[in-house]
Amino acid sequence: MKIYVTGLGLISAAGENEKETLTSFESGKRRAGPVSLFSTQIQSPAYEAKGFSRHYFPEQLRTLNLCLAATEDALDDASLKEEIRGKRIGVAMGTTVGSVLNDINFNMEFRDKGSAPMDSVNLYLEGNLSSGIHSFLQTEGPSITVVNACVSGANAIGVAMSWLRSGLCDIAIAGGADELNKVPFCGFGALGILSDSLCSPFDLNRKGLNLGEGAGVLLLESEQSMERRKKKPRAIMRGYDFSNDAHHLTSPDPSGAGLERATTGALIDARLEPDAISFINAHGTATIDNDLVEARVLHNLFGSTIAFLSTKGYIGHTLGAAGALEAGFCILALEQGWIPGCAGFKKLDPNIPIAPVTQKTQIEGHFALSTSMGFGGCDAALVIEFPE
Amino acid sequence: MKPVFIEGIGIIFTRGRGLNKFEQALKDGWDEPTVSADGRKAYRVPKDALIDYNILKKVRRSDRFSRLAVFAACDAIHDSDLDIADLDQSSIGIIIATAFGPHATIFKVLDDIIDYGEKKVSPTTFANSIHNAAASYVASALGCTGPVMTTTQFYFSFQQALLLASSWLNEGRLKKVLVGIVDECSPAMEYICEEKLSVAHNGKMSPLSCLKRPKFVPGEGSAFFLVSQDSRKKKYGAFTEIDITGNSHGWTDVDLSIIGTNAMGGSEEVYKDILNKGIPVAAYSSIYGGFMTGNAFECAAAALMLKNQTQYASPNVDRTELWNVADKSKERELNQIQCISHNNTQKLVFIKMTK
Repeated sequence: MKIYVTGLGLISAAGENEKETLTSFESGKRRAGPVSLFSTQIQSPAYEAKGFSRHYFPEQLRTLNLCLAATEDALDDASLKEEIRGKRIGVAMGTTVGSVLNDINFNMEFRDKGSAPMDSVNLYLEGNLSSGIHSFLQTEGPSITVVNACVSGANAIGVAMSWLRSGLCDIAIAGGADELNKVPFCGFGALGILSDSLCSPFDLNRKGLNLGEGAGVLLLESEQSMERRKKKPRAIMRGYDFSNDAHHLTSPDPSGAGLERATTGALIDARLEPDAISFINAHGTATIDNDLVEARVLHNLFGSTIAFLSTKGYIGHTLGAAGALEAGFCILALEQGWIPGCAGFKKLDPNIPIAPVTQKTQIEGHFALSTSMGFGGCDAALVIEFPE
Repeated sequence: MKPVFIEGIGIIFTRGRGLNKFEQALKDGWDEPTVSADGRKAYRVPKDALIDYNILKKVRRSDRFSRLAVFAACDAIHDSDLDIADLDQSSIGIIIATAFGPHATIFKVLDDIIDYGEKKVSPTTFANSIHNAAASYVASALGCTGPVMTTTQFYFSFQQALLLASSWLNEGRLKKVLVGIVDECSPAMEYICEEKLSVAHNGKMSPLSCLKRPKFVPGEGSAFFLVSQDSRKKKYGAFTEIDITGNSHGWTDVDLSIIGTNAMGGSEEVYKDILNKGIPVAAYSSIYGGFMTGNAFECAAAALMLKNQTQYASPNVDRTELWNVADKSKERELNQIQCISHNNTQKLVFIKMTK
């Protein structure tokens, strides 16, 4: 069963809409800088969605606001905004920060005094992404928030595909969102994988990742629903699969078996051979381990001439939003016929068998692959088609 | 929905680890909750239930939250007599639903930031504080390399996870799915419950009272179901319908309704309209405590009753006039049971289970 993309909403440091995003990609501009959203002693550039100011919920629920803004953009794009109430519309959203009660002041007060105000708890209870969107839009259909670390956004799209294939809904709003937040900022620092300079995916001198924030939302539809609405698709979600390393909590399996299984599975789901893929938007966090494992798997499966890049150099690592934003970027690239250079990459690591593209590169063909890897040993792959 | 057959169940709760302990608790009825150092009552999992070195050696760095999940998940596989080594290890999926995730470990990360500074957070604690850490440990302990997913939805986390498991099986993506829940009751959670809910100071929840502010005792635990669409492997009946529309009043062709009076969803008046239909009604949350994902425990109770063809008495019922309460344990023919839950907007969700 074919699943169509009829709407797209993308918000990140690269831009608050498709046009701004493409401008950033074309110019190679990297909008990272010191953290301004909270005070911190950790020196690592961050990719903030600086101009973002759309508030549907209290300002503190930044992740949910980012998510709903991207959702509204996707609904607008799909010409669906006015007619969703009561429809069989599923909502699948991925996040990390949006699922966590991590208010430092609440914790400090509770442990010092044995009591604390409930404000942050009340906000937290309001902040579940898919529940928030489900009730805001008054949709009727399945609703799930995926909390699978950095693979959450890709997995949420996969969940929506499963629902549509199973007939649980006719339309699905799927994607992911995460705000830049102090707690993961400290946590990634503790793991020693934050770079103190701009990230450089797949580069010999890569030193780690930069965190970012944003939201990516895709409006997915069954063929019947799309035809009923006389809407043309922007893309087709051709294949999806995901897998687990069962290896380590925070490090990828050095063999790359999990990612290879997920990628092969997505190609089988799409009924495509590897040589049908025009380009790959790799996870490419710029950590030593991720890039090494990922590049080896891509080389094994696609050979040494495949065009690929990581877009983390433009948006940072947006965690639960990453897989969804990058699926959206694949759609833009297929439509435009080019992919941007892999920002930050300069010199190939001799341990990495293939090099990403370094500048704006024309692409031919109709199929893109987006890969995601995350803590917990999660690996996911999406195959996206540009319709004839 | 195609039937989703239950091949094995694993459970860990306030009275210990194992389905036999859960079955005994259903027979025994209500018991006093545990009392914490600061005097708060809760149905906490005892420390000795989390000791099993054969399992712990596989998840040495895990936190308590993850261990709850690992123990219940491993027990579900053991209960099914499945030898994972005989299977393609990527043919089993895992879905873990949680309402609040490893919040106790998240608070430890915050403690590190407060006490030692931003640069001195323990990497192990941070890694364990991520929502999908438990699922990762389960996958490692069992050697499962198939899809592994963690989801959270507060009130209907388990129902949505079960629906997804059914979708995966329908698609043919997987042969079996291990689907379950885990939630933990930390001192902070006990405090939050006390602030926001009407705590039962006598330790007795008030299921089936239909109160605006039901009496509440927090609980915790983990329950897993190994499910497939292979009827030959059925051990406990099947999940046959899941209604998440919020428009339904449930099914009338069932032999028993179990309602999820976990009290976290606020007013339980919503049940008045739908349950006074002569169908026997039970609620068991006063055995394991109230928590948003406790609906999985209700499904485990239903599965046991369908298997044993025995109805267990609904404990702590103080308003029998409202409906036909299943107030006695007895053998009876049970073909179908529905498990009903509600959320804070009074929306109802239903799961139908069949013998």
